[in-house]
Amino acid sequence: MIEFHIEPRSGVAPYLQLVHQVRQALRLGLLHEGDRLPKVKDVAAKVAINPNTVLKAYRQLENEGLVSPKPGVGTFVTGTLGEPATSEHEPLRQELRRWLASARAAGLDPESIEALFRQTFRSTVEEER
Amino acid sequence: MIWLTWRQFRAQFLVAAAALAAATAYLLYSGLALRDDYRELTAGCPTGGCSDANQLIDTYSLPYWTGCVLVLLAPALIGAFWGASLVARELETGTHRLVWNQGIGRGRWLTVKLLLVGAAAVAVTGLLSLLVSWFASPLDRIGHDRFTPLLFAARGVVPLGYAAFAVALGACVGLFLRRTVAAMAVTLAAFAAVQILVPLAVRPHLEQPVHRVVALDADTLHSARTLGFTGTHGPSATFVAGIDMPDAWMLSDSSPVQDSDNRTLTFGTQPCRDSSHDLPSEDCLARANLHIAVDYQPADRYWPFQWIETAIFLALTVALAALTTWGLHRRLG
Amino acid sequence: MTAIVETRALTKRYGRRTALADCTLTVPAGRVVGLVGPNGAGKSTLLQLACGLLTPTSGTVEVFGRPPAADGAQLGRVGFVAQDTPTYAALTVADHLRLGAKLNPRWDAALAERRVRQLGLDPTQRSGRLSGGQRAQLALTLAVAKRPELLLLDEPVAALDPLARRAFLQSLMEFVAESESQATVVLSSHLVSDLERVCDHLIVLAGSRVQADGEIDDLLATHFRLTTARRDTDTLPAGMRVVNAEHTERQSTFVVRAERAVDDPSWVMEPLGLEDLVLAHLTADPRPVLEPQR
Repeated sequence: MIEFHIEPRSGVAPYLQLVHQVRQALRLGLLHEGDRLPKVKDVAAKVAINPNTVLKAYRQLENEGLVSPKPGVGTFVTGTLGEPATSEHEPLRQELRRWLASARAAGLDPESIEALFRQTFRSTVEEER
Repeated sequence: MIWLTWRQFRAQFLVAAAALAAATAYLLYSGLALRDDYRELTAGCPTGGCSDANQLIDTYSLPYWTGCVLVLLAPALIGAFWGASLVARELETGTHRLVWNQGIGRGRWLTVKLLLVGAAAVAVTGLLSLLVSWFASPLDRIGHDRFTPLLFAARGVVPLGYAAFAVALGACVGLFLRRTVAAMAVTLAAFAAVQILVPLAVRPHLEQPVHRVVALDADTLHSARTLGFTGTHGPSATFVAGIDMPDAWMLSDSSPVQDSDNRTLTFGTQPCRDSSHDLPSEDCLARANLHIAVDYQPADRYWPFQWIETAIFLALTVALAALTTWGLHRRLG
Repeated sequence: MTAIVETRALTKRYGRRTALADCTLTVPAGRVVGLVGPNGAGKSTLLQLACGLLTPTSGTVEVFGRPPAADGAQLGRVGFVAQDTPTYAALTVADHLRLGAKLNPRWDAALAERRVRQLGLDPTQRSGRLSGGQRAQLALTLAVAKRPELLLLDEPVAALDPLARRAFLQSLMEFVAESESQATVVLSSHLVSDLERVCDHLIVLAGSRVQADGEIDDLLATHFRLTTARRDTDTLPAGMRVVNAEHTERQSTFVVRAERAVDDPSWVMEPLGLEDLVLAHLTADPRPVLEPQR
């Protein structure tokens, strides 16, 4: 069973914070398929958070295919993040290194590179949606 | 709601009950002793009018006046401590915001509180009045003065009316002032004002007073309360006399003495002039065919007056309760 | 979306002082609504009008489509915890529960007793000897054991220390999660961080006017801080509504409302925390703020 927490000043909607925490737990191996998520009522009472927020987070996770509710029993983890194994990270890292080097060669300072990366990353993610 | 009222009111009520019990013990003890003495006294002179009678009043003056003061004070204190705190304390501590949001309306809240506290006030004062009336009845039979303003208010049923009125007055003042201590002070002051005003301005006119011309014969002169001149002795000083009638309420303390031609007598024109004394002798005056005119409420009006005045105070109570109910919805809204 | 509380041009004056002016808003059903605004914005007045403790000078307020506190049944459907959570100092905790049981037809004695046990309150303790947090919890217990459909809370945590505040909010959320047909809660506060946790709907009240009103997630998703070289407000692209603008000699900082963040090399546009979002709306109206009303 995992525990949730809320960081009010983050600017991230509370339900998204819960979603992130479930994904993180999956990634870290704290949650496995078949595990039950805490009951909405318990999360609400423990974290002092609106039950609607918990419901919304669980629905979002359901839409992502990570969990599914069993009426009257609870919400269970059904999926994994399906990410490629860490070993496949290496070739991607190499590629990124090469790109960073060419960005430096083009005269961009680290902060400009970061801004450019973030900007491109965000617009790409949005286009994919 | 009844339970809540009782729970909030318990301590105050127990204080009053304890005070009542103490007063009962004291007056019961004195009252029984008084009755023994009274029996001895009346056995000695069956026709009444004993000269020792006044001595009996002196002997028992402490419990007698304690009783009177208790009956007079009880409604005032009840009004201040029970009535004024009834609404004001809730407003002061903000608990009205708690209780008015329970499943009963504030109208019912007030009704139950006023009725219960009012009933308790009437019961306590009624018992006290009954006790004091019982204690004092032998002395009243000697004194024949129960219709006088002070004793009238301390006997019979009027204290019940006062008690109900005081509670409603306290509640109403508390609602408009919203401060317990201020409400208590104002309630006491207002109640005292009413208690002074009523015997002066209202009670004498409950019924048209009887106007009677009384001849100043030997008997009347003998029992006269006052006989003399007004102001300094001179031609402008009027010759006046005041008389008592048993159990009646004399509205005129003293009245100008008139002769058979209805002339008012003054210093210098009075009969039986005596160079050595300012006051003429009673024997001489008794033969002078003089008379005075008096206004009074006769003794048989005592109980009608008790009931009328009680009814007036109960009507005032209802009016104040209505005003409080109205204010509860309007003024706090 | 059914409106539980609906006000139209609601106005409350005390003599010449206006506590709430021309307030029109709706509280949707089944939400936990945060009512936020500076002291004196009329939050307390609004809540007291909604529970029928006050009557409007003009305008209307309806709860469940009826005037507030119209009768016992209506009173039974609404729970109210007043500011400073008043209780009877001379009465014990058990007395308070008994009071609630005697005065409320739908009283849930089991719930009340369970809560008192959970909170570790001594039933024989007089409420005058309870700590502020315990008293607030007792007041909340009285309000929720009525099984209200609408729960109004007037600054319930303002006077509490952080620990008691968290405990209170936990209790409150437990009640919300437990209520069968989900109860509607209106909670006034000036502590935005608390509201962000527990509320899903926010009403920003300033100068007794509704400045912002909506689901918190929507509000967060559509408000941004935009930092750029100094430029005029009207040069921003259409689709951005400026809530608040601040200029220095060289720089302009806007709080804008927009469907989504727009990337542009000439500015930085980032999400806004709820607290800053609320502050932006509160400072959007330059009208002077009235003194708090008690």
